[in-house]
Amino acid sequence: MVPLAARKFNVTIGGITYQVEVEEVGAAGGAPAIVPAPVASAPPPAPVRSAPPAPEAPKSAARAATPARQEPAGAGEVVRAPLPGMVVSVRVEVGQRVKAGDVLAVLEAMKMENDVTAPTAGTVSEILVEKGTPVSLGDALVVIG
Amino acid sequence: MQEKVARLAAEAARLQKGGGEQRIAKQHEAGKLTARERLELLFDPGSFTEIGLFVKHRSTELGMAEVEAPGDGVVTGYGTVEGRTVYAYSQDFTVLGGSLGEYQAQKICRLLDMALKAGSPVVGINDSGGARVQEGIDSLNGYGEIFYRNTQASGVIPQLSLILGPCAGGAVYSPGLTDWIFMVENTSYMFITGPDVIKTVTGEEVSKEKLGGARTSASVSGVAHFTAPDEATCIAQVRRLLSFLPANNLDDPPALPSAEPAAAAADGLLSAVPVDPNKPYDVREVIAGLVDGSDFFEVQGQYAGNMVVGFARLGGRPVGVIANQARVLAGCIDINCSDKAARFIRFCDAYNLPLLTLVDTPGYLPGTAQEYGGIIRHGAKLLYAYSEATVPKLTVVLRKAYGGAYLAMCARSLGADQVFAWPTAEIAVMGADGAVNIVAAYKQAIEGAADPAKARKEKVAEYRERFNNPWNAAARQLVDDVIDPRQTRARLLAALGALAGKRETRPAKKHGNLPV
Repeated sequence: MVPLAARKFNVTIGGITYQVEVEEVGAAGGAPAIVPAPVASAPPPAPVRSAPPAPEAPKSAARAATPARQEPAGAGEVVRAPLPGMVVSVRVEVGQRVKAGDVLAVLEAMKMENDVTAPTAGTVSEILVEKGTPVSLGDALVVIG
Repeated sequence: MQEKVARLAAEAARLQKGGGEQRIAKQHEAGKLTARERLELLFDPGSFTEIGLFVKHRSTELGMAEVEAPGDGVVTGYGTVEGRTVYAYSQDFTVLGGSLGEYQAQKICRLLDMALKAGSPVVGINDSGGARVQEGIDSLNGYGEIFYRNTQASGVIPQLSLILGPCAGGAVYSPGLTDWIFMVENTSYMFITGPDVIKTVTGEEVSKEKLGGARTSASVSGVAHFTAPDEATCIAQVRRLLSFLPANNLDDPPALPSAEPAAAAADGLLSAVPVDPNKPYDVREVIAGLVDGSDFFEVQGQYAGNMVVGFARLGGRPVGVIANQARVLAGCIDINCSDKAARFIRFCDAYNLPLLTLVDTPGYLPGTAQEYGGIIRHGAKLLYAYSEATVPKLTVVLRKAYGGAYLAMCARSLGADQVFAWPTAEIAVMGADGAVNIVAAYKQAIEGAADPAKARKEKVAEYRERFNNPWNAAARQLVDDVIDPRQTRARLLAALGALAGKRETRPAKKHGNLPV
């Protein structure tokens, strides 16, 4: 989501079209933040009617809308996100051999960097995320074959 | 007399073969040891004495009158482990699949009774197909008698259960009532209803391994406390665990000569915990830097990784260690780790092991899963366990210690005898970012400011400076001292020495109402 200074909308209510300017206030989308999403309110349209509903600004979401995560294609042990957060680093490559306990990726959540470790030894067969990917609880991160 | 003795020896030798050579071979082919081989590995060489070899079942139903079951499928007896008496029973899978009949149960009960009177630990080796169907209600009753005794013995003598084969149905409750469960990969199975019954009733398809194998039991259900790749390693783990424990609740844990931690680990204490509170680390490195010989015997290492618990020694004296693991779930306290830690704490308290708690937690894990799952009930267990414990309680605050989670990690108010804080300790109601969102004065200052983002940053820094440190707690003596990390071991040893004779009473009661 690209943060914009001000966006214009044509809103038709009761047959009359109003041009409305909406200014985004607050953090850009992408980083999980504790600050609740600010909702920019629209300035009143030019002809003043009895309380025409003001269109809501596109919410500058504190947490960017997470696209549905992919499920792994091949077979193997799927290592999933133990909590929602954002991938800040991927420490392995496809084809790399890992031991149980090796750090596969680091998730930032709750103001902490959380190590996601390999549950068993094996070879990394798939990596479904990269640095910056937001993940929900249970999203597949890495597959160990 | 000679002739009678010779006949006796021959009969004993025959019965000791259990179900016979063929079945013994089958057991070995399955990668399993026999009941007696396991006892050989467990006990000091030559120290094991078997009793009850000549016990016979008296069942006549369903053709049982013609069936011989040597020892009724269980080997019972006593011996020494590292010179200390231990009682044991070992189910014999070669005899009717190790199934439990009336007299197998009786042998086990008789053994448990004896161990309780003697005040010595019991090791139970489970390898059984379950109840002996032919014996019906007698077999069922047998289980109940065992469970009852497991319960009476709980907190009096340590009880260890090895699952070295199937353990299904009601049989799982004996191990479930004991203190420690050991499993072996690809050998152990533990579940109440097996895959076949589950398929019939709910339609779910799941393999034995996935349902109740070692890995699942250790990492998903938290039922198994220890897993091993093979039986020999498993039994070695049992011997190791016993070395930390007293024979019974009236004894002190056995002391060894003190041993310094590995030099690298001890020197590493200054850098082990990152000053930046967002950076992860492995708290086991801190533990290694503090305990004798850097020797830490972790319990339930595959379950609830956000807390690390296990046995170690300080100055030769066994202690129980409980530590937040900041790199997992941000070190938050949740349902599973509360259960794991509370049970461990209560075991240590029952058997006179002092508790060492290392703190680095930002709070409880948020989310509906936790709330619906009853984090309130489970988290309460942890508070209860620490408050109830009368063993010496030492706490070291390494880094974060926010809100209720700070209290839950054996704070002063829960009866910690000595609380030390590292300079990185942040003992506060909450983190700076959270506080700035809540405190009205800060919110007004930020909203009214010309540059709110900058004002926010300033307020966060201000709060952090004022509150996220050990000094406020130290001012109230909620923390006894703020220390150089390199001094931690010395301070712990001194504290333990000073608390060696600690005795504390509790109001007389039948027993408390532990939140479950």
